[in-house]
Amino acid sequence: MTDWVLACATDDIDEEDLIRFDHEDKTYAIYNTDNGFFATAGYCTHEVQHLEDGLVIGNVIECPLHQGRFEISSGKALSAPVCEDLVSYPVKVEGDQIYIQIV
Amino acid sequence: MRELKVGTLIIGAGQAGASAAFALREKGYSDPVCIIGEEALPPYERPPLSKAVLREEKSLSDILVRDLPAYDSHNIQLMLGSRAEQILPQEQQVKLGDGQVISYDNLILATGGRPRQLPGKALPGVHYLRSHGDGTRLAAELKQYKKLAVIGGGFIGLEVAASARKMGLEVCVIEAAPRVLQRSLPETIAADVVALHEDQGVEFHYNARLQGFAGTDRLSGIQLEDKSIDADIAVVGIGLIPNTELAETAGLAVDNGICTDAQCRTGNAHIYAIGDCANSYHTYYQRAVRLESWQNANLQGAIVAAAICAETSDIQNDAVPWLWSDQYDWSFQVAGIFDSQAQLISRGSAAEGKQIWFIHSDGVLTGVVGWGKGTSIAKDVRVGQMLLQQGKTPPFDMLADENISLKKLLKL
Repeated sequence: MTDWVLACATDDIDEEDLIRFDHEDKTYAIYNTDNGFFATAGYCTHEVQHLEDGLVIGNVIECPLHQGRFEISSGKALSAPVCEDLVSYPVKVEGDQIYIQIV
Repeated sequence: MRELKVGTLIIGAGQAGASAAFALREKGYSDPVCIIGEEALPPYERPPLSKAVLREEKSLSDILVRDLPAYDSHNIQLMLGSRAEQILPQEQQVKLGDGQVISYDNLILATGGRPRQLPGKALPGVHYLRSHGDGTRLAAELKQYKKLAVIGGGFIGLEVAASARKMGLEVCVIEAAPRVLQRSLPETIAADVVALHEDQGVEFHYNARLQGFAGTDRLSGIQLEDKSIDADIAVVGIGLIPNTELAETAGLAVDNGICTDAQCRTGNAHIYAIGDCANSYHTYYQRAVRLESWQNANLQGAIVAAAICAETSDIQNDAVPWLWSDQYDWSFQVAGIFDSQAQLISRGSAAEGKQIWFIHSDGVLTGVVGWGKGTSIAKDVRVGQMLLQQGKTPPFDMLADENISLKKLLKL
């Protein structure tokens, strides 16, 4: 059973930035990059720290706590101290609305 | 006595040593790797020791650099509770305390440092904070005693002060200098930090000349030249002494740490030094710099692994230094190195929960400091660090203007 959930509007997220999206008991990060919109789990896999204050550079999100880096489109962990990938979620844009698919 | 021969032997099971071992494996290094650690514990992260560990919010398993199965899966041998006694550089061997001898192709010294001690006899109730054991012993006493004196107003001292206030102790900070954080931050910034601590009820004593501790069986107070302060527990945080003795007796150059080039090589082609114990040539500053930081321990682990794998990639010791400190629900992030004469450009305000300072000397950006609630300042400090790394100094009026995106300044 998979659900498309309305996360936010396209202009809610600045270019090359992200916002936090909370849904039911989980939290997500929704990104606006040059390559489109993406969604991952909200918490860094190193320590319990939300990525919302992190810096987006191109296709990379950096955790605000210890600068662990992840590839936004895949969630892949890129450099120490993070070694566990972020879960990433499919995204679709309809009109100016962004939906993410939560398994 | 059994003989052991390894490809890379790492002395020191801390952040730097562990990071080097895993970085070697990530780069495809396949020879045996062994880490020798004096403590019986696997490598753990030290930053939580003055915070979550003191407040007993995190146990050892929460702060391990990597969990134990990762050492097996990466084929990294941990020899814990072992002390390296002597390096025999000619023979490429290290002698352990129990007489065992290990031969190496490459030796990485990640020996860290030890807290600078006050002269005089140890008195129960007086603590230093460096190891996990130090942290848990202090945590237990913080629950039992009421009046804490923190000796030394550096980052660790202030973090301990904040943790102890949160636990309900009466806290004072005793500082020999005219102000706290004198070696690390400009005065204006230190004043904002002090203001937060004072709001939380911490008392500060400056220009303090410590005469000794009062008490016979246990600490009962601190004697300063001009006053005595009641205290039933004290934490001394007055700096770190790099552990260089092994290197010195092996004939390696030592000057405020073990001297290395920008790839962490010592003068001996088979010996490297990384982390708190290393005074390494820094290509950004074009001089040797010894850094005591988590970032540096991780980075130098990666640099030394690249050097050992003979990578000719551009990985070298050139990263703008970066550190953080958490106090109450506020946090600091500091990028760069600057002197006490440096000037400040302010952006935002601490009253609004987020303050950034750009620091410059003679018109050139030399540092960025953020002080704010939670991780609110992280993005700005990170962009500041990138500006520094790129050697850029944007117009000061733009740096000061909160309405201008710092990220845009990167692309100027």
